Amino acid sequence: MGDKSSVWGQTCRIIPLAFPKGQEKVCELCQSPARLQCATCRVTFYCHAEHQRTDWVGIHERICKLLVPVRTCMPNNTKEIQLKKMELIKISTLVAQSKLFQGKHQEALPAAHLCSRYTEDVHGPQSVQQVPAFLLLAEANIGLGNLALAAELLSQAEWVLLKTPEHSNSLTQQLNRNFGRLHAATGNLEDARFNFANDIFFATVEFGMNSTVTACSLFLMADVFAKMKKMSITRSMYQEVARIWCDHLTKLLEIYKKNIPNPAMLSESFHDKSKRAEGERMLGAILEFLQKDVSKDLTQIALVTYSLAVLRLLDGDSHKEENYDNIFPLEPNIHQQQEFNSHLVLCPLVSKRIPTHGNGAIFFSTDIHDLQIIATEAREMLSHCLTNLQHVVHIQSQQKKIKSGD
Amino acid sequence: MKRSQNSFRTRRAPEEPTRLPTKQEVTALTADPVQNMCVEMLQRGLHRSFSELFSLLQAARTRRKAAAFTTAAAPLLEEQRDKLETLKLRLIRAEEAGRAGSWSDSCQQRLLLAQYFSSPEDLWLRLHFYHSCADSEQGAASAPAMEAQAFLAEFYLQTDDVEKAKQRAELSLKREDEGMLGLNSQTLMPRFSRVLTEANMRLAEAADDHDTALKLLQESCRTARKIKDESLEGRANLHMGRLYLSKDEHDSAKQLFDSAKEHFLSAQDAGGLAEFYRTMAKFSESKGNTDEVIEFLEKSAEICESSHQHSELADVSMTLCEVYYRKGRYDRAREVALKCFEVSCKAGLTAMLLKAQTMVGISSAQLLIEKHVSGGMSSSPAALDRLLKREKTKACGELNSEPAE
Repeated sequence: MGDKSSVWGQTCRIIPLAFPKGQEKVCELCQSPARLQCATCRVTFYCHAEHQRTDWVGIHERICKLLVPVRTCMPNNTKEIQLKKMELIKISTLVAQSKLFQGKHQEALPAAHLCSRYTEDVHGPQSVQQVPAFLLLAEANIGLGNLALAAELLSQAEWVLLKTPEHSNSLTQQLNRNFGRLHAATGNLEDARFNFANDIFFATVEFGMNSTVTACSLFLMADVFAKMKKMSITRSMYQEVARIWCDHLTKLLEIYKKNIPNPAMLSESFHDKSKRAEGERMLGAILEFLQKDVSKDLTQIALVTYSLAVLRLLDGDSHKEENYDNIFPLEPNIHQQQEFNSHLVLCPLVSKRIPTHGNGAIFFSTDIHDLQIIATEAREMLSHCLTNLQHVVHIQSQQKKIKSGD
Repeated sequence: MKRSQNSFRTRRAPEEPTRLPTKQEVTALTADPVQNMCVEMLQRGLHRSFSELFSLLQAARTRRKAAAFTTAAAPLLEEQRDKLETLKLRLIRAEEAGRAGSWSDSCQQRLLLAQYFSSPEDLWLRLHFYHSCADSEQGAASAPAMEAQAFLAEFYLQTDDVEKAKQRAELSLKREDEGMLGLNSQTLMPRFSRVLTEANMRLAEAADDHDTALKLLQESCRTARKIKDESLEGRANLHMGRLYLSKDEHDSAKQLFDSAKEHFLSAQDAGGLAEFYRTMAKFSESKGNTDEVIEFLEKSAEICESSHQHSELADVSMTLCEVYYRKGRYDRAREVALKCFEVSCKAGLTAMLLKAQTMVGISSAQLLIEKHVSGGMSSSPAALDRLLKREKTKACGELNSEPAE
């Protein structure tokens, strides 16, 4: 019998007693006796529909068919199976990371578990290759408040790394970041600071001072200082985070502008897009802080607003291909194309006002009148930004004159 | 058994429970010292100090790689603990001062760092901190920043980066004019004025057209007059005089030369006076008056000798030698060339030394020819050839007649 659920894949019921002794099927997520089977791959089992849905959203939708050869392998195909498992490890790692970037800790768990399982299969237990999986699981559990489990996972990861001195700085950086998160969650701010300090150090060594990874480390550290009410340090670190993101997004914008005539060149991985989701969360938090801050640094507010605008432009672009033909059903002329491009720059600033689909797609209206209204609103927002900047320049020149009297 | 039981009973219990080291303490012992330093800075929220230290360490590594195949490279910055500690201390103080809004103190820390790195192999660090002090956004008008500007202006002048030197000097003087500087910075203004004057003079020398050169020199004169530096004003007048000389405006040139002399005498500037006489020699040369040329060059040489200006003395002596030679006064030419040779040896001026040797040689040869020609001999090439052979044979004979050792 099959359960119909087109959004979360199809399942069919199984009769546990039908399987030979020793070959009972267990749930993919909780290892309890299974009653459902994925109707597509038929090699994945679940105890109930909730777990099936969780797994589908978490990872199974992406790897359903890839599991078939791995779970129905013949003994003489070991090398090929190992390669397929490594492919699965790669996919599940990226998916878990993406979910975590977007703050979807529950959804990240299935992918992280799968990664851990197959890493152990391929490389053996307690191997250094399993550390990324431990870290992903730990991060997901910290986000869900399962701090004891997270601490255990991090200890395991730390032990493996201590046994393997020649591991990469990236793993040490991630370990420190997760320990920092754990200590911050338990209120142990001193240890959190120590771990985040190491996180920033290793991120700088591995990725450089202007990397978004380092920016994230600084952001987390700034959060700890905010909890300690050391606002000047928090402000300074947020400033640095904003600068790094602004530089990064400006470079992406340049690439975007160059490739506007060639939409195919603009396609990006979902992983890169998810990373930007993390950036958007950080910049949003910084903007909120700046707006409430007593010092009211208008330059910084303008900078962060600009970065968010560029982010939304770049994110809106993920649906550019499907919308391009809707707006220009015929071959567009240069004038129309330029108008469209200028709208594309301005429209995402007001994207919140446009109703979205469940999967986050942003619909542009095909009516030119609607587009003009949107463009006008966006221009108003940008001119407001510009006014702020002009005000800032004026204040700074006044301050210079006052200081010269010192 | 009983003895061991007794010993257990009598053993003193520990007064305090032993404290296990914390994770941080363990890491501090096991980790790299640079890592510990960086982590300490970051724990205190001093991320800008960390960034700057990190980038300096990276720059040091890059420089070391580049110098790997040249002469023995100095140890890496991260291997020099005392320098690292000083860097850490001052960078932290600079950032803390900046955060408290005390930009003058922040610049002061950077200035101290610049002054700390005084050895030649640390010149790049020195320049880095002088720049970061002078170019600081908020503290640019503070006394330490102006001190750093003064160093940079003088440094660029010394290294012939005249445009940069001029820019820095002009910027500082402009800030002073706009009233942006405090009282502590006022004492540095003469240094900037001197750099500006010198830079303008050099730019005038290199200028393509006369008008630009004249404008620059007039500005030099004004600046020198403003700071009441007689010596500098004299040099500016001298340069202007040379400019007029090159345009054949002799009267204007003479006036300026006379004014320059007065300034040099007033400032008791021996170097300036020596240069004045050399310039006067050129002036006389343009009028075709060789006797005056010799007179002025002799005066210049005398001043250079008394004030121990070896390089200038060698120059003047060579010029004088050439004048004597052209005039046919080979005895004087030879004397002066020998003097030039001596001075060049002392001062290590190899090129000049070789030139002086040549002049000694050719002056001596001319003297010899003169001697024999005046004795009634023909000066035809064949006769000279026979003379040379005779002199050679005479010299060999003298050698052979020396008693064997």
